This record gives sequence, C-alpha cells and structure tokens, in this order.
Amino acid sequence: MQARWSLWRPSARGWLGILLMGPSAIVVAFLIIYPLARALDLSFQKIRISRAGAARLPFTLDNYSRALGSDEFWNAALVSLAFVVLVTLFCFLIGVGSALLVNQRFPGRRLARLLVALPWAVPEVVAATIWAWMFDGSFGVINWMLQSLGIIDAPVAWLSQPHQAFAVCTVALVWSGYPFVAVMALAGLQAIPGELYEAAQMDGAHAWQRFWHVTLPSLRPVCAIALVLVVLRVMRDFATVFVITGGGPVGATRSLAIYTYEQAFSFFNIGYAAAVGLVTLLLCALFSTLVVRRSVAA
Amino acid sequence: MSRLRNILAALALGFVAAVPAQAQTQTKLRFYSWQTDDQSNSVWWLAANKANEAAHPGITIDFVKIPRDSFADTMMVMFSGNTPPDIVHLASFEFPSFAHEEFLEDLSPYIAKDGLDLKGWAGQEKCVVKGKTYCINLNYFGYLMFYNAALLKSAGVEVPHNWTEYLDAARKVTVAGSGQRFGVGLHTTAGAGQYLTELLAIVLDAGGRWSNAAGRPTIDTPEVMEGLRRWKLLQTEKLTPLGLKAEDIRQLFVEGRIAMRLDGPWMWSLLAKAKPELRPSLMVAETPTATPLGGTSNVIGMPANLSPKRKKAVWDYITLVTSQHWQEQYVALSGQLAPRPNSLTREVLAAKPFLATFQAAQDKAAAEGIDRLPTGFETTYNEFAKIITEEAQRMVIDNADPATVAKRMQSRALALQKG
Repeated sequence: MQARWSLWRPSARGWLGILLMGPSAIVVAFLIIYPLARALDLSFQKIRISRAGAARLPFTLDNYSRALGSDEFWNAALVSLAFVVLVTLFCFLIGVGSALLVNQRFPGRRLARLLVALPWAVPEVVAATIWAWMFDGSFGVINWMLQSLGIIDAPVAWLSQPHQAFAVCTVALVWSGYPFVAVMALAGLQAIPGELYEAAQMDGAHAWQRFWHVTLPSLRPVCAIALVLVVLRVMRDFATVFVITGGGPVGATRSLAIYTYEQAFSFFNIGYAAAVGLVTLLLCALFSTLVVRRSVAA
Repeated sequence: MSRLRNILAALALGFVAAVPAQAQTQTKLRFYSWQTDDQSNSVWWLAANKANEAAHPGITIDFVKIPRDSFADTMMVMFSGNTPPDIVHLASFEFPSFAHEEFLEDLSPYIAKDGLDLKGWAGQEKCVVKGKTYCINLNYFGYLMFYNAALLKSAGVEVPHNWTEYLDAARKVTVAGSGQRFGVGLHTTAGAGQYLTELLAIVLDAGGRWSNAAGRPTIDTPEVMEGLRRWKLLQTEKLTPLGLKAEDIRQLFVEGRIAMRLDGPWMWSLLAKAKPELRPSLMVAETPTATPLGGTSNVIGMPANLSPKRKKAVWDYITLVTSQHWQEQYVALSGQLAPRPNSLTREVLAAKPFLATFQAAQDKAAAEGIDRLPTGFETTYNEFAKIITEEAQRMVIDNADPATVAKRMQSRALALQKG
C-alpha cells in the first residue's frame, strides 16, 4: 500500500518551504520587484511625468546616454563617493573606538553604552535640522563657540561655502551613523573568546598587538556586514543632506540621491531620474557583492 | 404575521428614504493645499469651504494640509497614479507642468457657460496654455518693502526710495548692528525658486529681465549684469545674514534683527507675531526699486479625469470662490489683494489702510507686465531657477565677475531651452 503524500514528509520539505515562503515572496515581489521593474521601464522612455495606465512611450537609451554624458551626474557621483569614503571612515574610527571603550569595565558603563547609541535613536530630519541651526552662519552656536574660544575671528558661513557645507553634512552623517557601527562592533567584541586574549598575553603580545592580531581579525565578519550597511546608508541618504543644504551650494553636497529626487520631483524628468536611480542601484549592488564576496573568501 | 409584515415594510421604507439622504452626504471633495493653517489665506479658505457646504448640501470639502516643500512631489505622485485631488490648488510656477501634461480640465467651456467675467483679472493670462484656460488665478502680488523704522532711525537713515538710498541704509544699519543686526535680509540658500525671485527683485530695478516677450533669454544684457553686481554686493559686504532661507529671514525680521525685507504681501500677517514693543516699528512701504517684482502666486483648477458629477461640484466651488462676494472676502479676511477687479471695498480699505500700499505695488507691477515666471521657461521653471541660483551663488563664492556669470547663465539657459 502506497503511503499518503504529506507536506510533513521529509521528501516534501522543499514544497513546504515554498509554501511557507510564498506569502512573503509575494509581498517582496510587490514591494520591490514591481517598482524596480516599473523604474526600469520608465528609464527607457523619454518621459516627464508618468501616468498610470497611459500608453508606453517608444524605447530609448537617451536617459542613460544623457546621464553618462552629464557633468552634473558625474559631480553627484563624485559627491556620493566622497561622502561614502569619509563618512564610512569616520563612522568606523569613532564606532569601533567607542565600542572598545564601552567594552571595558568601569563605573557608569551602562550609561556610556546608552549615550553611544543615543544618536541612532534621533530621527534623521530632527537631527539634520538641529545641525543646520547649530551651523547657521549668522546665529549658530558653533560660530559662537569658536569665536568665544578665539579660534575664529569672524563667523564662518558654513552652509554658504561648498567645502564647509560638505563638511557639515559629513559631520551630521557621521554623528548619526557611528552608533550603528559601535553597536555592531560591541556585539562582535563580546563574542570574542577571552581565551584568545589570554593566549596572546601568554605569548607576550602587548595591548596594540592584541588589538591588531586578535580583536581586529575577530571583528572582521561583523565589520564587513557593517561596512556594507553603512555604505548603503550613505549612498541612499537623502534627508540629512537635503535638510541641511538641499544639495547646495553650487552642487557641493548634491549626492546621487538628491540629484535623483531633484530630477524626478523638482524638474519632473521621471524617465531620466529612473535611469539615474538605477545606475545608483547598480553601483550599490556591485559594491555590496564585492564586499560580501571578499568577506566570505576571507 | 401581519405585524411582522408591517415591521418589514416600515424598515424597507426607512431604508429607501435613507438611501438618498445618505447619498447626499457622500460627495466629499478632496482639496489639498499648503494654505490650510497659515494666518492669512486659511481664514478665507475655511470660510469659503463652509459657505460652499451650506450652499450645496451633500457636498463636503476635505481640506487637507500638505507642506509647501513637498507639495509638488505629492501632486505629481497623485496625478501620476490617477488619484488627483478634486479641487486642484497649485503654485503658479508648478502649474504649467501639469497643464502641459493635460492633467487638468480645460475650464473654457465652464467659463463661457456661466459667463465668468475674467476681464481685468490679475495674472489670469498665466492660466492659458495652448489656447486653453486650465486654471483661475487666485493671487497676483506686487512686492513690498517691510522695514523696521526703529532700526533705520537708530542708524540715522530715512526709509529708502531708490537703490542708492537702500544700499546706504543697509550699510549703516549693518555697521550699527555689529553683526547682530543686518540692513537687509535675503534668501541665499537652497530653494532655487525663492532665490530666483529675490534676485529678480534686484535685477528688475537695474532694468534687467530674464527673457523677452518672445521667450528668448536676455540674461547677458548690461542691465542683468548690473543687477547681479548689486546682488553680489549685498552679500559680499555681509549686509544680509548668509545661508538662510526666506522663512528664517522673515522670522529674524519679526524679531527685530533685520531692517529691510523685500517680500510679498503674505509677510504682513507674520508681523502679528512680533513682540508688542516691537510691532509698532514694523512697517510696510512700496519697494525702493523702480519696478517692483510682481507675479502670480497660486491657482485653482480641476483634474481632467473626474466624473461629470464631481466636475460640476468642483466648478460650483470655483464659481463660489471667484465670485465678487468671496473675492471681497478674500481681501477682508486674508489681508491680501484679490485678482478680481474692484475687490478692495471702501470699508475694507478704511479698516486696513496698508492695502492701499499693496494695491499701488500690484498695479505698478501689473502695468509693467512683470511676472516672476519668465516667459519661455514656464515648464522648466525649476531647472531655470536652479541654473540662475547656482551661477549666482558661484559668483558670490568665487568673487566672479558678474558679466562673465551673466554670459554663462545665458548659455546654460539657451541650452535648457534647446533641451
């Protein structure tokens, strides 16, 4: 007699998995794949404002060739790259540094950990608005402090000068981004077996050597994931920079995210904006794949 | 049994009677605006909505706020998704993009049918696209000068009447203010549309225009170059706080930190926020510029894809708000001028004498045919604004020659027109 087919049988595990994954797969498809496919379709049309149900415009590569030949696009790409490099670097320096600090035993450690993670809890727009006020060229507290300390003679127009505005945005992005690295690194630090340090100490390794040869390699997998997430966060950041500078002055802080928004919602160039957005997505995907592969290989 | 039948019959009758009543209350017109809670326009809107609901039982207005910063984005998403609001309220500089895409209903047949007289209606020509009237203009403004009489007096200067006096007053107030008070207040940061408007106010005084009547850019003219030079001067001499948005500048004016501010009539209502001891010093006059900046501000229309029933309800609403009575009410309640001719009544003028100054500025700007929206750049206004803003900012940052900057602006504007 043949046994009845059942989803619970080991041989039907694949089907059970598909069945269980089905609903979430459908939701993911609806929320991610459909918009992505729609954006891809729009990027191949010379369209200003799209309309649901309207006839498709002829296929064209104009949007991509326009983007690749546009100084503004490359400037935005450069700004994004600069943000990614600087913000990631400082997020890791401060994040790992503060994680090492709050991993030590000292009175008030809990409070210190809370304070390290605090910026993460502040909504982006709120934080950006506060930074913009603090760096206000005429009435900001930063200028007042610097002048009071005798560091500057006259107020600095932080948000009206390209380099200064870029620096302000970088500071704001680092401030809101380092707690994530700190939390990840702290989790990584707590997972390192104490025996490794004991063994290194017995071999005569001093503090720096223990950090370099034990702590850092052990943190590598955590850091690789954190790196991908931080880079993606900076690449897609819109609110912080937009609230502080709106992408200005003279495009000094216009990242790819802001450039895309500007083209779509300010200039009503939906087709072109979709092309720029997809190129950005491609860059992010390439970077993530590269880092994850290297991390897995290591 | 017969009792049960009677009950059922009564219930059925009640249901039949209730259906029309329910249907009557079911038409809710969606009206999204950025003016739902300001201290000027919202008072009028709310009163007009109430009047419309009273005049048209069964029609309610869902008056919802969308912040100005995200208004165009939201409208675009709504129109793209075929779910636009029933009553379309747009800023005049974003309206052409929606009209060119034919998202809006041509109002010409409605206007003809109801005999709405638009003769002399300020700024109405901006609503006509490809020969069709897609909107009714709701506000045409003339720029004014708001000033702090006490600050000017303490710096030993009179209210300026021309550029030379204006610059002199700005310098003296700034020097007396020791970095805490400024002669003028300009929007010099992100927000290209506002930047362009404020720059244009200065350029106009020098006799410059962004484009001619045929829509060709005229930025590389000596007049525009002079305007740019003046704009640069105000910033390089730090006569204005730098890097601030118009909203912040207005606030600083209300707090008594800025002596002179060229702005639209909407700023009047903000003066009420000033401290009581400061309020008497805050005054309004015609701009010291020879030609005041003028322009259409916002328009009303309806989407093309509404049902006939909703179109009628929306048109009834438009008819109400553009009627003589409600245009007069606009002046009385908002403290701004309405576009309909003769909307400023003697009684209102007696109660609000400052409106005479508003009227003079509006008339002067209208007589010169000035609009902040440059001809030839109606659908690319935001891109045009970005070009001019970026180049003007670069001029100040790099201390560049205004003549060179004007030429670069001209070539970029021409490239924009060519697409």
